[in-house]
Amino acid sequence: MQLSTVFFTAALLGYVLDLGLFLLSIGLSRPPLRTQRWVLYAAFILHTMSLLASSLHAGQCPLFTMQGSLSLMAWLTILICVLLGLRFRLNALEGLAPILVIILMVASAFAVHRVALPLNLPEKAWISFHAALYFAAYSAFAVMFLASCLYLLLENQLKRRHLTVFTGDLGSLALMDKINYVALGIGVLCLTVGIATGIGILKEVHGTWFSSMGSDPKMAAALFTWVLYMALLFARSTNRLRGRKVAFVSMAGFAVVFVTFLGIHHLDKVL
Amino acid sequence: MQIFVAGMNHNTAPLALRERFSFSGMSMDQALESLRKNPTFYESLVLSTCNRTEIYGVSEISSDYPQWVTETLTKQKGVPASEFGHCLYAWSGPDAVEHLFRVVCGLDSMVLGESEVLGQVKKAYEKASAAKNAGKILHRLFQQSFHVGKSVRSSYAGGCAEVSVSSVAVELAKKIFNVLEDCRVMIVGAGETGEQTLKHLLGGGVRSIVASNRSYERACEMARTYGGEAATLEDALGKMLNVDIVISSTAAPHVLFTKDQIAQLMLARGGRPMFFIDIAVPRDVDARVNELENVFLYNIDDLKQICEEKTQQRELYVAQSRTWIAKEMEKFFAWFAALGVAPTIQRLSDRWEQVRYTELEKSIKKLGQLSEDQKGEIDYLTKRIVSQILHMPKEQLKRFANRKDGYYYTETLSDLFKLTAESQEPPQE
Repeated sequence: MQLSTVFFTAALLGYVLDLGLFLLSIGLSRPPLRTQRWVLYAAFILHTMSLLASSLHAGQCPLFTMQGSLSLMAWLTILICVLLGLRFRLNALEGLAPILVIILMVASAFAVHRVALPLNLPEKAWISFHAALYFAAYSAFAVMFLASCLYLLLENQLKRRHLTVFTGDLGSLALMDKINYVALGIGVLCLTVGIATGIGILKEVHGTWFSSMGSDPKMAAALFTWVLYMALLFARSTNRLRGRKVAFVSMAGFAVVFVTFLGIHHLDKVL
Repeated sequence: MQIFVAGMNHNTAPLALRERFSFSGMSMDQALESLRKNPTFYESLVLSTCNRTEIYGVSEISSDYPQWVTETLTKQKGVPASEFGHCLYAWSGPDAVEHLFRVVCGLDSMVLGESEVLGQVKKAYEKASAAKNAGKILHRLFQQSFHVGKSVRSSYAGGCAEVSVSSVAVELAKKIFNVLEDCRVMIVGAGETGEQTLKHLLGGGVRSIVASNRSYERACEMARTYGGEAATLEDALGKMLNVDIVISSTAAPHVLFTKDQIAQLMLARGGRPMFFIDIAVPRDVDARVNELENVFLYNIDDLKQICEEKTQQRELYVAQSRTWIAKEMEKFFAWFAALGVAPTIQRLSDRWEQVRYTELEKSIKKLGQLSEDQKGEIDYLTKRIVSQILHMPKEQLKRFANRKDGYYYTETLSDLFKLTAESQEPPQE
């Protein structure tokens, strides 16, 4: 068994344990244990080591395989959630993040290991930059998804007038909305630059600006995601969408993006 | 030896007196130095916060410790004892330990369960440790108190602050708007609870208010008092366009704000969230308003219900703190009692070691030529035998030390083996 696989499995178990402890504290109506946070940090360190080990083993950053990219996306999501949790004392964000991360990591574990990088491409650094921007954008959308979950949970508690010990860890509606908005802005920005660099790379490969875009399913999926989130950004900034509607659209949007992402990779593999 | 505490706090002394006994920086260093040089205090620590000034110490058992503390305070601050003596409290033994544990849990604070005091006690301990005023006993006592303070808070952090309808309203507003600085509040009517809630919101950061009343003069009066804008009751709905929180407490016999009106208002506001606090009886705001998106409506019963839940949490916090305190006190005094028998145990070990050494010397002489390895082996063997024999009595003595009759076991052992400090003569053959 490779060292990266050992670290990966240990990190996954750590996230599962962390989530279990968080759900247990909710079940017992107790504030989350301090141990839970340390378990999360330990799992995150193991996850980092897994990515480093796999990068060293493959001789390239983990952006060019389905396995690596999903794992990297999970890692980025946890990193952002931990930073936001520390900044705003949002235990619930740190507590719920492992749900999404576990899904991403399990998907990563079952993904086919295959080097997707065409070896004849000259601009490897540009491809890395392009792919990194994509995953930064997807991680930002994942954070939006989590913030939306928390928004809806808190809104539900406030509407039902039933506050629990857990309510204190949910932050506030305005804060969740702000996190959602900032993550949306960052995500759209990264995706826009990512698509622009992608078009540039396709130009290098095919010699024309747009004719090859339709033949690349990943590019088509990225454009679809971009249109979706740009529409959301427009609706938000013009106050056409607010509160729970934004939360629902963010969650649905991420689900669509996630399914499309997996589907396109599967299609790519079949083709 | 005894542990004691003496001092004054917000319950016993007014602020004017407490501030005269505040220790910080140089004055703290001087007080610690003075206590360290005083042979009466084996160990000492000064805790000085805005709510209390206390001296913790370890000394020989004596009932004079309040006098010692009074003298120290007088010497340090130049205030005659007659001016503050009546504000002092003093406890020793378990009462002193319990007091410290209550302080770190925030049970003795103005705001129940506040966590700031834990940091203040830690700082006081660090100062005393750095100045070498705190020794083995205070070290153990304070480390254990930090454990109690942290454990209680991490287990039962929720809702131990003061609870009222107004404070719950502020908490809810923060849950919706995060910060209240940018919120505009409208108070409709002039009920006492409504005004109280407004005061709490202003305390929570709200800067802008609109006062609306059936009587425009009364509205102007309120606007003047709290620094805001006045409006008639008829204008209230129109003014809500730029208002985030509405406190309604009129004596109107019918609903003042219907669902349709608020729905229209929300459209005009672009869906920005609104929080209605309806403390009027009969209600001023249609209950169905809560069904609207981004509108949150709480009436007096809803707020009281949350208050009750929070009060239960608060009572739970106190009860659980007491349980923790009792458990940790038991642990501490088990250690403290064992500390009391430590000299007896040491003398017992010394006596047996003396016997072992004397007998070993004699035997080695009788055995004649032995290699160093053989001598070492015999030495190790005898040490192991003595250690094994003494292990059980030592452990039992520590265990019994915490019992009421523990003293008799120590005395009996001392008598049987003549373990008094003076009788350390070698055993007779």
